[in-house]
Amino acid sequence: MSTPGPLAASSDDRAAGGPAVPEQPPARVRRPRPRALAAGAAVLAALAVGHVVVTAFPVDDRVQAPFLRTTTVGEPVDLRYARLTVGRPTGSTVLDGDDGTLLATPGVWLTVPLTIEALGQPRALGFAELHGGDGRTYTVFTSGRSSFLPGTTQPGVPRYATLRVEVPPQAVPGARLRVGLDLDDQRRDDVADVELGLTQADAEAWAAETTPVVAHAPSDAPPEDS
Amino acid sequence: MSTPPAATPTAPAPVHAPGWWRRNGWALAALPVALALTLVASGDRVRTLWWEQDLRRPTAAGPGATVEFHQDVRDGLGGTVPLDVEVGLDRVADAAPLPDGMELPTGTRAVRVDLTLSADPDVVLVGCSLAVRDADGTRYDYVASAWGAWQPVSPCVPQDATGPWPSLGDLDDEISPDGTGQAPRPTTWSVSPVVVVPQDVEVTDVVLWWQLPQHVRLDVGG
Repeated sequence: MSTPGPLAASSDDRAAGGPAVPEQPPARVRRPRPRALAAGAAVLAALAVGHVVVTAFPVDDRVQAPFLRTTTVGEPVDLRYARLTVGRPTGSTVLDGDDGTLLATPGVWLTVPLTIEALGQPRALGFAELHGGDGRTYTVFTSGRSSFLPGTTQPGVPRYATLRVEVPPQAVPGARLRVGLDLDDQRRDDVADVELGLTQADAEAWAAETTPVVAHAPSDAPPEDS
Repeated sequence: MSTPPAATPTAPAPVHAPGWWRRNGWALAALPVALALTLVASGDRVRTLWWEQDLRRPTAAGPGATVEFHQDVRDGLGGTVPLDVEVGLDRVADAAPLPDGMELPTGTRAVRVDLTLSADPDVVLVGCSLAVRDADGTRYDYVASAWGAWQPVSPCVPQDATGPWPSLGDLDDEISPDGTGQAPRPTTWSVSPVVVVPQDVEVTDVVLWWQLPQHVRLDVGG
């Protein structure tokens, strides 16, 4: 906006023939004050900074990441929903599913015994995956051959289950096992991260082993007793 | 008041501009509302992912008392079905004998929960869940098929007269055109589900629910 020019002068001025000099100040035009401009710019700047913070850094992954509780074989780990103890893994090229069937593999059948003690209420753990030493992630349960179905664990009644996963031998050394509550969603929840302590020698021995390794059916009695 | 000396050419008396609090009064008043709206908008999943995932809204009865429980149960077809039932806890005691085939795991015992319920025969009550809790709030669920035993699927209705089942819409007539073939459920009946708990657990209350978060809480007398 600009100040009124001659056209905006009053008719009296023109009738007098004189120059268009207003006798009174022209109608005041409000200009944005510098402070208002600065405030607007500050709001825009804050929005821009917020956008950068949200998009330029991978905070989403970190905010939603599960809480990994690391442990090793034989060491109990306390999760929000259960106490978990992972036993010593074994392996072979043949798996006895404890249901009258034998499953063979060109790779290695890895079985891991777990003891689950539920906390607070009955829990049915449903998530497991193996992070192989070869850098790949081997899902458990999706194929039906690799499975982890411990069933529901009542508080105060330990449940004994065996996880079984079929992997290539090169995935065995340095493999880590992750176990959690929800098959579909581990965000912002505890997940056990177990260092299985497996070596290249284990992989080679199990890849040549033909004696079936038994994956016991889940039970409230220790496998030795069943 | 004294008259100011006329000879002194002073500036006009200063007009006090309204203070910061007054100028921003409306914004300050709106701030709590905006904060509340922000929390509501960012908490849209608290209800479905947290509040409705556990036992949150009890209808409680003291030891020996009977309680009337009402809930509008979602029927899965977009509507709700009213559920009205009267529940009383008769007693919680060691289960003897055990249900057929039950073998208790080491370090556990079985408790029998004697309940008396009353409801109109046309109220849908199958699909209930039952659990007992100890003083710490730890919950031990009733499991129909476990430890070698087969108990009724619904622990709150007679096994041979369950009453109506939840509607499946248009499929109802095709599945059982002549009804379930069962006798109608009596208006008052008793059930005795058995729950397995660790040996040293003292049961302090019994909870019964159809759809979370509402539930019936029946305190066990001391």
